[in-house]
Amino acid sequence: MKKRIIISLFALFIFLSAGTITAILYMASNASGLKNIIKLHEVEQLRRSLVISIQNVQSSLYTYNTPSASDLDFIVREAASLDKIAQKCSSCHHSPQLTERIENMQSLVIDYEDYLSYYLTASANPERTNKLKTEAAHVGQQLIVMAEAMSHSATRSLTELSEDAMARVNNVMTILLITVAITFILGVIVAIHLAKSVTRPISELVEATGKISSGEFGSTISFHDQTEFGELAEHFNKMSLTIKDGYEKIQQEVAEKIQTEHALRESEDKFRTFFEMSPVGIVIYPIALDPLNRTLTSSVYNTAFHNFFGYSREELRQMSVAEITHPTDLRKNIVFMEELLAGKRDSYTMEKRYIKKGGDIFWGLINVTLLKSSYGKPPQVMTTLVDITERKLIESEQLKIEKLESVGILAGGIAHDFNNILTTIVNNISLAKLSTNPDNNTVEILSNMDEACRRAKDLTNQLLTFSKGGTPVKKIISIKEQIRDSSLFALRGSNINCKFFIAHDLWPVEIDAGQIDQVLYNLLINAVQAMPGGGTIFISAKNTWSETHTNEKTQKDYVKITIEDQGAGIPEGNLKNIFDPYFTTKQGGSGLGLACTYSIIKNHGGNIAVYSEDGKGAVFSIYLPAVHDQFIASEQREARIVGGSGKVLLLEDEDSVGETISRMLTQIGYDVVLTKDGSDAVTLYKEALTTSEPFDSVIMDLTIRGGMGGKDTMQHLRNIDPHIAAIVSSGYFNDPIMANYQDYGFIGVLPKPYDIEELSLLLNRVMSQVRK
Amino acid sequence: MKQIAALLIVLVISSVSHATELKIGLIPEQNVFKQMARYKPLGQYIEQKTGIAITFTILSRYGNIINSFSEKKLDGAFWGSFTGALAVKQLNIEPIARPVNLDGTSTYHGYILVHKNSKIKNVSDMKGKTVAFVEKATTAGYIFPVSYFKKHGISKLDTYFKDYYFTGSHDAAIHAVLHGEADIACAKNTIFEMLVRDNPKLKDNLVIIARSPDVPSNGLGLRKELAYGVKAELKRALLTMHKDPEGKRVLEKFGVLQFIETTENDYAPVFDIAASAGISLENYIYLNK
Repeated sequence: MKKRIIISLFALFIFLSAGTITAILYMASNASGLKNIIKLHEVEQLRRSLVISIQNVQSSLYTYNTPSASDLDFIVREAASLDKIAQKCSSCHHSPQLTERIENMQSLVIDYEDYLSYYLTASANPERTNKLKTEAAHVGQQLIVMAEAMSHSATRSLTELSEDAMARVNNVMTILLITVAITFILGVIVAIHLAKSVTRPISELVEATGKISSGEFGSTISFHDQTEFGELAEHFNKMSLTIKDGYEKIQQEVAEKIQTEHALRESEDKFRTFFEMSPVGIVIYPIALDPLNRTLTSSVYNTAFHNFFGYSREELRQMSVAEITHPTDLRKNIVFMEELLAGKRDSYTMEKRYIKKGGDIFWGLINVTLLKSSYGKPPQVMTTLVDITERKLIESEQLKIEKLESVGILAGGIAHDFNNILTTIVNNISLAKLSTNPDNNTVEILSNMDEACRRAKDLTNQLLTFSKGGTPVKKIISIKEQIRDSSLFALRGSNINCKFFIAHDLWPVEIDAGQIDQVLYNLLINAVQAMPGGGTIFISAKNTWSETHTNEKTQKDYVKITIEDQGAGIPEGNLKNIFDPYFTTKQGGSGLGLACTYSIIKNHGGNIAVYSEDGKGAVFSIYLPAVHDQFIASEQREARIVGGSGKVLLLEDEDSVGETISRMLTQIGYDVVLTKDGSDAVTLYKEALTTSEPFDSVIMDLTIRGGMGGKDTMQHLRNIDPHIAAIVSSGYFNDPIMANYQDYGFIGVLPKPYDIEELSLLLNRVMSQVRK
Repeated sequence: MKQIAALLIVLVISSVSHATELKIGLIPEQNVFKQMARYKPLGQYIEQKTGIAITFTILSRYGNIINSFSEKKLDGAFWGSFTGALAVKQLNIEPIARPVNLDGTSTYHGYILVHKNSKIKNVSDMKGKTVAFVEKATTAGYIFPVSYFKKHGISKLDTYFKDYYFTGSHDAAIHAVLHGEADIACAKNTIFEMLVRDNPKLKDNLVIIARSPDVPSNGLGLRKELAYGVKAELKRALLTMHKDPEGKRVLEKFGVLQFIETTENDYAPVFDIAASAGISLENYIYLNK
């Protein structure tokens, strides 16, 4: 396009220049003619002036010395102008001929002046003066003729030159007109062509640009040619498409960015929510020298963290970590922090104690992490804090329980064997009593022995209970009588009075009566021992529910049994340890009584609490879950032997026990087959089924050393006979099978040691059921 | 009081008589047109230096300069020696300055000239010849020749010469002899030398028969009534113009070296010549007839 424009304009310029130059040349050539014309005019003027001056002088000459004579000065001036005019004529460029004529004229002027002067200055001799006058006039006349001749000649030349100049001027005008006209036409053509070449692409560009500005990115134009506009159009189209792509990318990026920002904001909100709502305490503080001793002014912590300590936010900001840390744990904390800051670790976890406002201590599990710097932010330390006080208590209790377990395992083993031995003793005593005349004094001795064995049994039970808390073998009973009986039993022979406040509508409870007996016994013995000088124990029982004494959210009904003494009270420092095993303040005490009590109550799903003030006695409160189900009346312990009949398979690996029980059963009318091994029992039972005399009942010891125990034997037997009537017996009455015997298919349970009465009653019941 | 009045009168008179334009007359020493052309630059110079406008007026005859001086109300004139003397006596003119010729003289003298072909060598040879005088009011152009002729026994010009006439200017008298219109010319040497400068061959064609004593060259004389300051200004301008480069150029064109101061005493020789010619300056009739 540039070339086109340049070429077009150049052509126009050339044409215009040619025409103009031609006109100028013509004008230039005419200029000399015009100059000549002007000169001729000037010359004509000079000559006219010359003629006029001469005529004036001639006139003055003729009138000199007459009344109408001119002043001599006038004549002198006119003559002087003559001279000047004559000089001017010669100053123009003339042809040689004309120059000669002018020179002649100048000479004549000089002569004229001379003659004039002669005449003017002459005096006297009129003839002479007239002659001088005539001569001057003659010369003047010659001058006039000469001047007029020259004037005529000049006029002719002037006319010729003027005509010639006019002709040239006309030619120049014609040339100029033609030049202008053609230039105009060419210019119009070029302009139209260029305009089209320029306006079309420009209009398309403008339109496309407008579209782009209104948002229609990617708009292109269709114009294309080989000129710059074509190139412009091509580039424009590329640019438009690039803009479109770029815009779409930007839009996408913006959308992604918005999305990211939303996500970020959401994440931040979530973080904030999490941060503030988190039950875990979080504190973030900048890294600094000795950060644990710097106040929390520059830190950020959430509500959970703040709430741990009991300070106001302003107070907490002025505290340092060191100030709220238990001195014992501070050193370890400092070491961990130093390692963290030194880069030896990225984080650390530790359990430490914190000090609340008011001095209370709580256990916290902290995780301290180094937050490395990002986005120009300095590194920070983040600490999460969880209150593990309860867990620590649980662990403490767990430890207690483990201690109990370890002792229990030992005690359990001993108790089992001891129970077996006691079983033999008790059963033989029973047999001896059966074989002895009731009026014989030996019966009293045997009764005492029996009582002692029972106490021994109680002790072993206590040991077994303590060993794992003892899974209670629970029955739903009304505890009213048991409270009264157990209390009176425990207080017999002491100088302590007992007052009862037992609600008449006391709810039933599902308990292991023997274990609860132990509990009451232990508490009452302690109360008695707390009042060596005598006093009164207040025992109460009432219905209550969980809100009053536990943190349970759902209401549970309990039976609350309270034992209050008037002793010296329990020092405050001992209160938290009194349920620990082996904790005792009594000289010679085992330290197991309250531990066992605690374990029993816990196993019953209940709770035990103690309140005491120094010098004001102690109050123990037992909470036993109440039962509102069908009340099953507790079986009263009957001191009688019930005989029966039937075939009984006895699985017992202890020879003495087996023989004693076998003898007892036989004595009360049963046929007994004794076996020491579960496999044998299964074989015998199976074989008996094929006969006309199958076994009516099976009594099996749970633990068979070196052989199949009661549980497995029961499984086999149930496979053979799903309706088998089996009784489980064991010295480990904490065994789950003993507590939940029915789940294993047994229909009765006999904790060892048991006496003939218990055995006879149970077996009678079982047989009755079988026969039904 | 009287002194104050006198001073005031002088001042008034001075102011009244103080002219900003002076009209200066020129005698037709030569061709009147050339005369005017010669004096014009001098007048322009004086005007430039003094601020006083100078207007020259050419007088056609030496003879009517006295009348014309009063009629035309001239303020001064460049007088010839005789007319100057006349003006001093009759017009109360104060001489101011006169030029110094190129040869260093400030005087001129008259010549009695004949054509070299005329065979006239003395007064005797002049008998019956034609004499071209200049004017009766010129020293070189009439007074001296009359005095010379008288000394040589010619008392009546009418009878001795065939004819005599007055050419009006010195160059006309010389041209009259050169052109054969007269046999004897009486003219001043300055004009003769001026013509010779223009045409050196001219000198070869003329013979000088007699030479008069030196008389003051044509100088400026002003009315005594003119303001003292004006006269002083003019005088100063003329007397110092040879020191000024522009003045020197004007002087060169004028054909003189400088102007010098002129007094009445400088006209003494004129008075002597006039007396020897038997002319009384007080009542001399100087009109040509």
